[in-house]
Amino acid sequence: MFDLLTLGAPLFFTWQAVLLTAAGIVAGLFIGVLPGLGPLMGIVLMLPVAFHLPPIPAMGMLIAIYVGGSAGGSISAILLRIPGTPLAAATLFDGYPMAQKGRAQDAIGLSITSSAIGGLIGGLVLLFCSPLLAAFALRFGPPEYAAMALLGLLTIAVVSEGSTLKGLIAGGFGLALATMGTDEFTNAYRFTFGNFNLTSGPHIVPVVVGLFALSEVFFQIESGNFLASPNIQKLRVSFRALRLLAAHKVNLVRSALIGTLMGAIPGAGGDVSAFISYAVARRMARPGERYGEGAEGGVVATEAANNGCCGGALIPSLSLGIPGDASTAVLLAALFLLGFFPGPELFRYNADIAGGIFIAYLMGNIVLLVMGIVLVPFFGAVLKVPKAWLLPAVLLLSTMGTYALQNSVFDLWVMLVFGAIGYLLRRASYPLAPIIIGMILGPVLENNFRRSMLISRDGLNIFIERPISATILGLVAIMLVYAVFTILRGHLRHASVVNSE
Amino acid sequence: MNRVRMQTYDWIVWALFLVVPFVIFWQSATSLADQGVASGGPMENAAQFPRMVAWLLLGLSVLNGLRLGLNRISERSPLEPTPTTRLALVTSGGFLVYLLMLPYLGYHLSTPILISALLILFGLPAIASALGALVMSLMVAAVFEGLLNVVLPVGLFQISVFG
Amino acid sequence: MKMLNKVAAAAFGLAMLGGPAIAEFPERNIQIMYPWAPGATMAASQVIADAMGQKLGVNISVVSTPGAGGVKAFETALAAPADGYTLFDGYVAPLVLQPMQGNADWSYTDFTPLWSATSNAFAIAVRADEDRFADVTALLDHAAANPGDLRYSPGSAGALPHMVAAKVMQTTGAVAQLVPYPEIDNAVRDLRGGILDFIVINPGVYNINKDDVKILSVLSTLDRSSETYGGAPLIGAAGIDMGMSNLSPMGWDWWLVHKETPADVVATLQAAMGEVVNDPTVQKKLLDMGYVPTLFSPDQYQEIVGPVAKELQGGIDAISWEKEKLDAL
Repeated sequence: MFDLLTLGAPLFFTWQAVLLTAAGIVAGLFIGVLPGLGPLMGIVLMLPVAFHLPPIPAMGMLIAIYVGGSAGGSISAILLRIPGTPLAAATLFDGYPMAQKGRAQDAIGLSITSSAIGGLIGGLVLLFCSPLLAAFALRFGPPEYAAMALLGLLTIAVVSEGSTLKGLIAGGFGLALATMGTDEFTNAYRFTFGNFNLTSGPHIVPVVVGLFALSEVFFQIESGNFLASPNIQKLRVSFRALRLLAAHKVNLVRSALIGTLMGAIPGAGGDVSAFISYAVARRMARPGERYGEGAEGGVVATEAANNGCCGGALIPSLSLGIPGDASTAVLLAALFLLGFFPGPELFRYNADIAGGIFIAYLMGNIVLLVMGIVLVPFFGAVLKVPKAWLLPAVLLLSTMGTYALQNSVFDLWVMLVFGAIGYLLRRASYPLAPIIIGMILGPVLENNFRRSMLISRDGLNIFIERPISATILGLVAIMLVYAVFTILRGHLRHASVVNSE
Repeated sequence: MNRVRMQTYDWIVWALFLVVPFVIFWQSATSLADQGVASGGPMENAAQFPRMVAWLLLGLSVLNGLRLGLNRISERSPLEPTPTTRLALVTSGGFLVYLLMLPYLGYHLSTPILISALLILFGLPAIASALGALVMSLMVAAVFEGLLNVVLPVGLFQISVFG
Repeated sequence: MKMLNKVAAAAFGLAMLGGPAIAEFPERNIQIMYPWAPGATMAASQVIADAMGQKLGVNISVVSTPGAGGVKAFETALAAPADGYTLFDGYVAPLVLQPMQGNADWSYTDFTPLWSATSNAFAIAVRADEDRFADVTALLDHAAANPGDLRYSPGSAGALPHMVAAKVMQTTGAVAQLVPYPEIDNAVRDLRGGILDFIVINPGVYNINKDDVKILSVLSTLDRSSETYGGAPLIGAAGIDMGMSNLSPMGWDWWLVHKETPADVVATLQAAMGEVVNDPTVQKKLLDMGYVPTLFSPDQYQEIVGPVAKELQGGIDAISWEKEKLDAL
């Protein structure tokens, strides 16, 4: 693992990469602060820019936005009781009461410092675990990859927020989208409807930008209040939080590890990990701490967990090519478009790239620690920028970013169509993340399945004759049983509610 | 009827997802069959996997339809326009026109117009909007044209500022 | 206000009834449509684009537009105006192969050539510790005696490496199970893992996998191709005539512009590219990456590209032959 770092160091320590990583943290923080725009949106908006950069500066910037964005959401949660991102929802419980007691400064300081240190702990786990996992995955062949893709897809559909059935439908829709374009085996055109722009299917970037960014702009316009500017407590730069944090060492490490573990499970994601570590911290707390009324420990637990989660989510993403959540799915897409295949090959052939990404992640968290505290006064100011200015800026960045990708106006139409689809799906409470995961894992699943069938001498048996693939398929079966169970249970519970009414 | 209205968006999305499998079946039977790739082994059959996905979607959609029809669903999704829904639709319409004009007018003419229109619609004063729009579109152009060497749409007048 | 100047200049240009505004070509950035996904091969195009951009004083960006075996990039470039600001990275697949297979409605004569760029030969590779086959003859003999027993990958199905390999196998009566991969990079993993018995590799991928693979034979008739594979023997050394010579069995690209591009613009581009590909530092950079500069001038376009089509037909027929044999197994 240390050779990864030494290989990656020369790539990372260039002015461009360091500067862009720092800029990514700052941008991520501000994007996270603004209600409605999370780390995913930040990555999505900067994704097209990244394709015009060398790989490490590009990935450094995107990962920094991921890290900064995951931390920034807590600030509006603390100051305004509006979580900037769903990740920060659990930070409300104690962050907002702290602010009401006049301790907004401390709450923000604690949330930034525990985010950064939680992120660093996640980064160390990432550094240890992913080369091991990647080395193990070197034994994977087409059957194993097909089985892994199935598992990843099923998990994200089952675990993502909202109904399991809707998650599965969204995942299936992603798979269907992934079949559009030129078939890899026959070179036939599938579902292109005679349009040459579709010969490689809809590009993932306009789809992501449309589903997430455009639909959000529409939602924001619908909710009105274009010129509103909230009242914010006065904030200063202060490193006092580090001293406060020292009292919560155990909680910090424990929460960061919970976050990392949850992050490494595809689909679980930051919000789940924040709630779990909050619950654990609360149960372990001393009686005098009074969780829910402004306990410092509550802020530490949730923020350490949701940034530790970023490091965790990168583990399966980088070493297997199976994304942990929607944000890492987009990071994977970026890596792909930069010309690198995530998975064991990355560690083998492009160990310098893998190392550079690790360093970018670790350095990002260190930058977060410093910048997060220095920039505190500005966060208040940003929260005062009226939506009227923000929305056109988001729209313009989405549009030109998407255009710049392939210099294609067609992609802008794709973006618009998926904007409409994203809006409808969100109104009907469908999760959007499974669509993206489906689009990324679809070709992995289909092509490795067909490849396995070509390699196999006795049909489907190849999947159970190979021990690793059989084990993964066993997990798939467990997930399936779980999915069917939750769907049925939902029905039964609902039925009993209806009956009792 | 009222029950259906309570779940308008759910029904719209249900219909949308129900169409997908049929498009897959239709294309498999026509376009893919014409190309000779709708049958055979794993090497030749490009329609097999899409058909599997289609059946999956169809099955899930039927299940979801039952759930909706029998009212076994807890979330409500009625069409509930807010006071600014009309504005959101106008914005979308404006953006549509922008996309139509972009290849002809080019980035540097159409973008300031779109952005200033949006800023005015969102309630900012006209002069601030015009200036803000100009600054915003020049900043984005500086990043993409200047730093990243992207050729933004030049339009019929062949205008580029930083390229 | 630079933009106002441009507007004024455009208006002035119009007033002069379309006077020779083009004389200052190039006055903005140029793009070249590259038909594959980003990777080692794109880096080779980037090397030429960067050097050429410096000569012209503008930036040339390589835009990756993969899809439909390269046809999408051509369609995209064809949709752009014939003003010299959009170039074609004319890879053999979209330029010659796809039209032959009826997937595109142009011929190579529908474009104006700049200089040819690079070429890379393909080679048959096995695991580094492979002990069943001492040389390519042993491998092909085994595949002929036991049809379908070996599994191989030429990368993506129907592409050039596949044709060349199929042609060699048809010539020797060898039959092996085809397993396509999107890029040959991915197939190396399964070659190493024992799932595949041999692959058809290119110099870029060979360079980064030197320790894992052994080259049995280079599928080329040019001695220079052997050098990009550490001096491995050419297929001719095994006494096999694959019926393809010179550029035909290789991957190569020739930079092109629209047929209607004004002559002075074409001349500017040709001059710049000519200087670049003949520049020793650029050549060294390309060679280090495994790509051999081909150095054919615009005048040689017809004479070089013409025969390729005929010889590739043999490759297409060989793939049909292979499919028949595999279906019969």
